[in-house]
Amino acid sequence: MSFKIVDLKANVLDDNNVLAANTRKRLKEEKTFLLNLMSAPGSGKTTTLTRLIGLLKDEMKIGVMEADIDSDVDAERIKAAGADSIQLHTGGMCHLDADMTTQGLDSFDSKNYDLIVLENVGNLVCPAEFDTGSSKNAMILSVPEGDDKPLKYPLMFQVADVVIINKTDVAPYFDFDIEKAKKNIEMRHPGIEVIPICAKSGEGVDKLADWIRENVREWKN
Amino acid sequence: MHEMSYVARLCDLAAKTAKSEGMAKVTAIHADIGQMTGIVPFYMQKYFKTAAKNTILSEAELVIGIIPVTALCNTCKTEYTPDAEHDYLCPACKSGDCKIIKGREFLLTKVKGECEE
Ligand SMILES: Nc1nc2c(ncn2[C@@H]2O[C@H](COP(=O)(O)OP(=O)(O)OP(=O)(O)O)[C@@H](O)[C@H]2O)c(=O)[nH]1
Ligand SMILES: [Mg+2]
Ligand SMILES: [Zn+2]
Repeated sequence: MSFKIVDLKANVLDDNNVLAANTRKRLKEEKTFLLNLMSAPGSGKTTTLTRLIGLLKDEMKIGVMEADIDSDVDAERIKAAGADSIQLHTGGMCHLDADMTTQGLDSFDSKNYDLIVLENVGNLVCPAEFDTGSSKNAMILSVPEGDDKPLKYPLMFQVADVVIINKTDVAPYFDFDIEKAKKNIEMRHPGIEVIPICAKSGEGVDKLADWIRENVREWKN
Repeated sequence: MHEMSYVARLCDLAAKTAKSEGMAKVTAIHADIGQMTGIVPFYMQKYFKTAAKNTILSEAELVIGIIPVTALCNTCKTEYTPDAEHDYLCPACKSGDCKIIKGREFLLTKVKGECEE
């Protein structure tokens, strides 16, 4: 019997990062753009997606992967809007990792799609930690959450490539200052695109659709 | 409870390391966790017991070190720990444009164990 001490500095999330990088490469080859959509619970991810599908479904093939914890309500809403959807089994996890995402892509036959959206688990902390292999990350900040949220959750805003401010219709009731929110977001992520929308009425969603069109086009090049 | 998936990954890596080092039994593993990962050590310990059961880690102790958040201000290059008192901004120049240089880590730093021979 002998004792042994091994000193190391191993990144525990390395496995995830490697798989995510491989998945991203594969998606690039398949010319499939994967958008990872993150937000706090109830910020309007599914409502925004149904609006987007309405605007984009005639020009591109869209699939959605839903990470609802224990229901298929959102997946059904997506189907009703006219896109394919599948339910990912997160097993109560608070975020999606590259493994679950890749399994979802496999069951989907991702190469047949131009755009796949991953509706991540509603949570502002953990999803930001785990690279899913997505082409780009979008996050939704909804008005009731407050215009100072970017200061409290800096990482989420740093990993995002675009920030959507949703529920602009209720801004007056929540003392939400859109310009202040933009300033706070800009502080965390200089130069990032911020798109205010009202998913309920559809206002502003056309700008978000433009952002997606442009990114899908770029990804295919 | 995101600690669960972190613990599972940590245990996998530690067990793999122990086996490749020829250990028959692990007595302790050390992990350094950045404050910004949002990992709560209490839950880490709790789930570790479950995850370690019936593995080479079943008798191991988990020792957790915390790495505080350090930001580097892109404007004035000050290194600081963001806090509520300063609205999480640079205390020197009030800018929020910063790079997080420490605090997102999740590292396995030590595996202690016993070998048969
Ligand atoms: N007033 C207002 N309500 C909205 C808007 N967009 C969404 N909602 C409402 O917000 C609630 C949550 O919307 P969802 O689209 O289900 O939000 P989600 O982020 O997909 O929710 P989870 O998947 O449960 O995390 C619903 O009651 C929507 O009708 C908006 O622009 N304005
Ligand atoms: Mg939803
Ligand atoms: Zn500064």
